[in-house]
Amino acid sequence: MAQFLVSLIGGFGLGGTYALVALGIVLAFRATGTFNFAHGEFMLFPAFLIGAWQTSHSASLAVSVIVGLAIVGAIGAAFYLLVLQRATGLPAFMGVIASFGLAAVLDGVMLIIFGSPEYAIHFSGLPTGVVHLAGARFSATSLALTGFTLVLAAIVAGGLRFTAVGRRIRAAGQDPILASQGGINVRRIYMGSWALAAVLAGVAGIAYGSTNIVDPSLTSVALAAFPAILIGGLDSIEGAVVGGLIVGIFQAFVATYLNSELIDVLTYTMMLVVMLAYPQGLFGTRRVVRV
Amino acid sequence: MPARELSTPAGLSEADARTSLTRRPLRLARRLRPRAAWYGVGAMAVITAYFTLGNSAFSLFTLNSCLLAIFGAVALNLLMGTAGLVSIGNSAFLAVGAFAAVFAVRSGIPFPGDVAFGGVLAGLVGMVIGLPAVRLRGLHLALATLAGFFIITYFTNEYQSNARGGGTGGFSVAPLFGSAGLTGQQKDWAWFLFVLVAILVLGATRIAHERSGRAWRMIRDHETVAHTLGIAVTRYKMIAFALSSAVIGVEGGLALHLSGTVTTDQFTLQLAITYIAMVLIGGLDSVAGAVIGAVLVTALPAIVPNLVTGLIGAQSATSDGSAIAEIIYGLLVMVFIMSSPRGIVGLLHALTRVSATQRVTGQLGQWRRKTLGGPIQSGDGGGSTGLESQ
Repeated sequence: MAQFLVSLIGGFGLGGTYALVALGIVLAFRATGTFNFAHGEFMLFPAFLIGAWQTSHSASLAVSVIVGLAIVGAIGAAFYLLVLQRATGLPAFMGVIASFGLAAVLDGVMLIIFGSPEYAIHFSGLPTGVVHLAGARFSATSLALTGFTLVLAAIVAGGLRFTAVGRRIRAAGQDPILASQGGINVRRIYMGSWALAAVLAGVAGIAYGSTNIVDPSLTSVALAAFPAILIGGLDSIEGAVVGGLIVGIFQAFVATYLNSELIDVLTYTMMLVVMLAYPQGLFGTRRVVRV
Repeated sequence: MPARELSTPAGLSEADARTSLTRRPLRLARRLRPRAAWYGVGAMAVITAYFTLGNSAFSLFTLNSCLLAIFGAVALNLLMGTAGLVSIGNSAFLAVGAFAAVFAVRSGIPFPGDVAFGGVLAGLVGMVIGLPAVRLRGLHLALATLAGFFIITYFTNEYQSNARGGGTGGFSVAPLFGSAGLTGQQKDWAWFLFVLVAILVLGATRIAHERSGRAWRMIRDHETVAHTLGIAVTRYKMIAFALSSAVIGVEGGLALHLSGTVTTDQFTLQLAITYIAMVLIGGLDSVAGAVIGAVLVTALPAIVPNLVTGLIGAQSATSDGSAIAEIIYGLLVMVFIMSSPRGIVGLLHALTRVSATQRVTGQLGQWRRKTLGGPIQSGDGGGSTGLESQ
């Protein structure tokens, strides 16, 4: 029972991070039809910045979080403005390849600025200690972060559904021409979507980094969010959150009951099965191919 | 864009060829590019001779890396550029080729046999990985091949950690031509790889301009129409996956014999993406483009540290050189997507307006105007980039 609870809560923790990452990728995908392969770099940059500044004591935690997220948001917006906007009209996969290029550039830049360090991020405000729950022991820090990522994912998903800005973002993603006729500045919305996507990635990176170690392998967390997106449905905001939780819990159970080496292969096999059986995912739009 | 196929003469469908009143333009187009491939092979021979006359082991090693990369780039170009099937799992086929060769060597199969075994096995695995292509296309197919990449990586990891003599350091075999000394070995390899690359380039050019090449382009641009024309779509897709994976597998086996060692850590997703970048920078659906892209992207990390030494000093050039090379490579990818989606080859075509292909395209345009009165597709056309949008 204790083992089950540990897997479940650990899965929610992992799933919260995946949900944030997946939300970001889906937002960017809905905006420009680009599946962002540089999302892992968006996650890594603020985490590196915070780690570096915390080690050298050059800025307070709040400042480094804000600066890190602001920079990564600006990078996301700039990528849309400078590259994707000019690639409009090209086949959608060209944007994906452009995001490979962005990932390479960011990798190189981070290698020059930071090298390949290992940081541990400490949040002074978070509760510490051990929580006992039904015979199992949990770290209070990771419980708090789990709650935070889940609440944030729910707020973002809810905001996209129920607020005016969220409606605009969804409208611009669904039908740019109709949206622009309705008075929505589609380009600004797209730019905002990319900035928001990058910031969400940054938050996910910081949250993941504060319970694990921050090193360049953090980027692979974004890869692990791909199955979450496809299971939830490529263009569905709710699907990203649900898919993230499904994959997170699945991986936690695989790690506990089977073997942690099997995590990747089983997650991707699950993705493959879902893709072949339900190509639109759980909540995605069914695409009709016409000739 | 119904007139899109006319932008490249080789993109003509079989039906067009059958209904054509005059076959002359088509035959011209068919002969043309292969001749260019012979010139390309000649140029490569000159370059190989230049480097083998020198004595720098490092530049010879760079040359050999470039020649090896040409295998993967040409193979991926066939799959991605010509057939329009996006695959980001291709470094897994390198792993299959290399590890199958290790297995064969340990089972007592000597050199050419083990590489061939690796190629065949990689081709078979490629067909399995390509199975989702029957149902999926575009981004979904790319992600399915990504899933394939992780699944294959799991098995190679298992093999490496469980096989006798494996472990984290990977496997090692005696390097080929090892008796010729450090530089001599690289020289022997350069000529050996040159011969193989020449065969590959000529073969790939021929395939791309014959019946299968036309069928692949038809599937890429209009899959449903391809069905109605009697093209066995599924079979052609499988052949594309099998052929390209087999060639990539052979590259993996050869790389094993060149370096003498192999570990699973070499076969990363970044490596797979590098090959996509080669094909894109060089120019989709162009064998010459794949060769140029492979050489450029592979040589970049070797060239950049020398180039930037004057700017930032020798010490930071050696420490940051590879990072700068990575930045340049990423920027190149983005710049080419924005300015010239058809890559370097497309850029060259645009610059030399009266290239040979253009003349044929012009003839085709006149022929179409006379016979059909249809729209005229002028210029090299920013035409099909080979990748259908979702």
